[in-house]
Amino acid sequence: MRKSHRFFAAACVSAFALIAAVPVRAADVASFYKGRTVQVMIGFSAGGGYDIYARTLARYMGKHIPGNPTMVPQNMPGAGTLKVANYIYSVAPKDGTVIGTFARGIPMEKLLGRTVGQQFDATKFTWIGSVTDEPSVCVFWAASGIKTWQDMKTKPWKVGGSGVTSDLDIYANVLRNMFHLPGRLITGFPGGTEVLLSMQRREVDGRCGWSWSSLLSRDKHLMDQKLVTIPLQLGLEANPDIPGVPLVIDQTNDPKEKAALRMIFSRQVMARPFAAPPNLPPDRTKALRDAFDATMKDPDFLAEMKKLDLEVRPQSGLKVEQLVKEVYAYPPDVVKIATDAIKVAK
Amino acid sequence: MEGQFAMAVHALQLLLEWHRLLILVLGVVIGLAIGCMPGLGGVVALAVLIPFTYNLDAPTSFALLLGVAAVTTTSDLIPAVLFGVPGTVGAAATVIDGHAMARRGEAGRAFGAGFVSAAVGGIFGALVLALAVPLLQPLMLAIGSPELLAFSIFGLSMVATLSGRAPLKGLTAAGVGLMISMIGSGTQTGTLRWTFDWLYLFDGVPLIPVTLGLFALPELADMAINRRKIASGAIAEVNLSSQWEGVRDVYRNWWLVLKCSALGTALGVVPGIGSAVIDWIVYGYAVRTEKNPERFGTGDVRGVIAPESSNNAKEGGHLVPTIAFGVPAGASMTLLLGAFLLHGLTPGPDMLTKNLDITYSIIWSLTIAHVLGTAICLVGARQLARFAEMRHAILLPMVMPIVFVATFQATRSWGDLYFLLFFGIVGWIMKRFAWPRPPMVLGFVLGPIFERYLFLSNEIYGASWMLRPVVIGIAILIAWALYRPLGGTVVRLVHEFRHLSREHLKLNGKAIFTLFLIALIVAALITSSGWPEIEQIVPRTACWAALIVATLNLITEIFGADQAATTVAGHGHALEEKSDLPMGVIVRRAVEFFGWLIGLVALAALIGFIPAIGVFVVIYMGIGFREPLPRAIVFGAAMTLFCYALFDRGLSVPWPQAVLGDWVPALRDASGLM
Repeated sequence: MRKSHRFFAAACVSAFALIAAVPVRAADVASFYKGRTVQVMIGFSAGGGYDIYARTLARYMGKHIPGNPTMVPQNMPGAGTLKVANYIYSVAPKDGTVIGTFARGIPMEKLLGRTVGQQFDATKFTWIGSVTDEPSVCVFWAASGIKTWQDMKTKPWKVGGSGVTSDLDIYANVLRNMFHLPGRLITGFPGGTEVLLSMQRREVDGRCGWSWSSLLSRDKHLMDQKLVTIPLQLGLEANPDIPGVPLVIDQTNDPKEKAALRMIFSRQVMARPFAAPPNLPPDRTKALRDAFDATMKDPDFLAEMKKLDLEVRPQSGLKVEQLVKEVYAYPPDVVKIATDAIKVAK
Repeated sequence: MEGQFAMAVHALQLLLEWHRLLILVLGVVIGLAIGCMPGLGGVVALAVLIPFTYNLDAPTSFALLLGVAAVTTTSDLIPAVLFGVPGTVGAAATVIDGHAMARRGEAGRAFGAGFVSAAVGGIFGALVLALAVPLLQPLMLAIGSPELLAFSIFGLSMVATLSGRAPLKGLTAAGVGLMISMIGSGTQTGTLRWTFDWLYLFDGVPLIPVTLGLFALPELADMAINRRKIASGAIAEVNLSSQWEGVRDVYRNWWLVLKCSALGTALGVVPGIGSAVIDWIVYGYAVRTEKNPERFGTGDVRGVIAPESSNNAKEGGHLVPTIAFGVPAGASMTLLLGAFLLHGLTPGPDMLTKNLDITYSIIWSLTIAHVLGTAICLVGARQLARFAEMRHAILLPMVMPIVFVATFQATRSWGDLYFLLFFGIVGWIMKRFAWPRPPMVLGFVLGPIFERYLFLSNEIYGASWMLRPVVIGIAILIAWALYRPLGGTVVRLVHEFRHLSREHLKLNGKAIFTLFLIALIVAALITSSGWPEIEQIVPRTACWAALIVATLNLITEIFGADQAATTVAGHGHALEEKSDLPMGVIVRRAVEFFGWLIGLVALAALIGFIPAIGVFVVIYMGIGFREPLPRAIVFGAAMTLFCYALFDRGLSVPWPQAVLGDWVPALRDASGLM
């Protein structure tokens, strides 16, 4: 009895200490968000992959923010998501009532020499996190005879692309430029699915840049029936689910080239990024990041994502921020190797 | 096959469960309402409704979504016939003969013919899809880049027919349309073409401001200029017996209906070719193949039947690549694909095996929606026809704000409104000077498809793409489509140029407009000279071609005999306004009309969109048209409420920040509208 009394007292004290330890600020945050709406700006039109990620996040994240604001998803497509990135950076109120998502490559564009229309500094966004990282792969139609990385280096091949700023084009160009591969890039397809269709027609041999998760969830039958081969993984770390397939980063021993590759493929780590405007009040930054992390562990959210066949391998806001800063801190000679590598090679 | 039949029956049973049927009816009603509103179409409706399908099962979701998507092109006929303003981008061709019929007092007949041919076309498309299910995969694999290229060239070849008797003007318009379509980031090197560092232009000029500007604003402007009711007898005339006359027209022209439905379905399969051009291509095709082509454009019911049947048939065609491969054939299909993902469905082989019931439920939804849509329209048309009875002083202030906000919600940028105004002015001048407008839309929509598949075909096949059987087949079709109009054109041009003379020398409004276009083309040539060669090929070829044809046109305008004989409306554009107003009054009223619109844009920037609509309606009615002030205020309030409910609550359009909101942030916080 005594024991339990003492336990009760201790619990009370520690509970009180806990409440007291959390700065009064938390109450401020809760009273700020109470009754407000937080807009989730989506740089794509309704229905795409990014859109589903954002809408599902919006449905669950609100209850993890103190004050339980309503999260309202809103599509703002345009200029390959530059429009929404600019909006979040410079127009949206800097009070924690707007977060948003844009193409994973957008933060690196400036570094790679494309600055037209950019009104933001990628390192200064308030990064909230990325719902998942997404290893990407090179996929070839099996009948093309390209089965291994060795084949890619020795036999001629054609891959499809969908415009010079798309991942498909960037990755294909990097491989060809840096490793002097005997391949060609045929670009101008409307998107990845059209490239796949073209592979089936045997117009092109493959595509470099296919997110592993969407390959699994949408076109697993191609692997089951051994219609496609995977000679190379594109990312920063080898994915244990893709055994025996070499990783692009490991294909060079030159530390500078390695760094340049890291710079280019880092976007796969922040595959579904969410960011808020720069210079948020620190307590609200913390509230949003904590809420994001909590949502990633929310069983209801996870069940929903599983139902939708969407991967969740969360990357915290801090990690994304560090990655962006790391990449932007590379010395000019590494940057030059990277920008040369993504140039269109004909 | 037997299994498939059983599956089709099972899917029908699924769909006929009362709650799904109810949802389908709901979808149809929403779709019809949205189709009536100029500028709003299936894409908008889908974007709004998809999030609501989160909690529905797959067949129910598709019942809702296809119910909406199917019928917007049925009800878009209503404003097209009554006001000459197309309800969606797909009804522009219907305006020509449909509106002419209404002005002759035959609105009912146009409705009957249009609604029923829409249903027949829609069912045809669904049927083709159903029959094609086992063949979907091989079918899509047979259509490679060269075939898609050939389709787009076939579409472009319709410029010849749609230019009517003004071939030089038609070709110039097509060239300029193609040039405008090249604005944005190039597909090959990402060069930003004619964007002038304006972010809005990176994705190119959107379709909605172009079509509404070219086809809706000129009609509204003429309404403001002529100041008369559209049709005084229209309402008395829209009843079941007059509509029955239209139904019989469909029966009499059944072969045309089938041909146009088939063409609509086939074109629907091609990604990128949507209703904005399908209606024109099919209209041109009908003019080219039917007897007495000279009657098109004067209120011939066949001019309603052809585009209406094809536009509803295209939905079935659109679904072929979407279901078989997950390749969206149009903007609405991109959204529908999103709905597939949302329900864990993978387009591709699964849809033809494991999820065959879903595929069939899609086909049934499409069929039932078309029948329902047509039935509702036939019954309700009489009520809606009352709008045509309204005076311009009430109609204009009601329609203009809808066109205005509907355009803005296209990409939600001010640029949409600038281009709406620009194309509105250009479109009105073109209409006045008997320039055919459809070629401009054909060039605009087909240009990027042409460029894309031209490069892909050449890269993949070299020159041998021209030898593929389907390509050769389409080439024969193109030659046949071009043969007669081209012959007539050459004869006419030779005739015209023989009669050039220095005695006719003059510089009138028409010549000045052509000069303006030439200046635009030259500026485009100068600014594009620095691009990488591969990005120059298509746009600069279009420029040079347009420049040559426009210059020839200028010569005929400056040195030609009086063009009265040559500017008679040809096929493919509305009859020239026959008004007895003096030129001075026309110009003054046109300037006033566009002045009001510019004022509306400025007002929206100042006090926000929704408040601006209220103020605009009151001022426009009260001062512009000298209506009694109380009436103006009632209408202003009603329009504000309506637009608020539709665009703010319904479509949750994010409003741009207005100046007033900057001055008084409290107002912005309180209303969320500025």
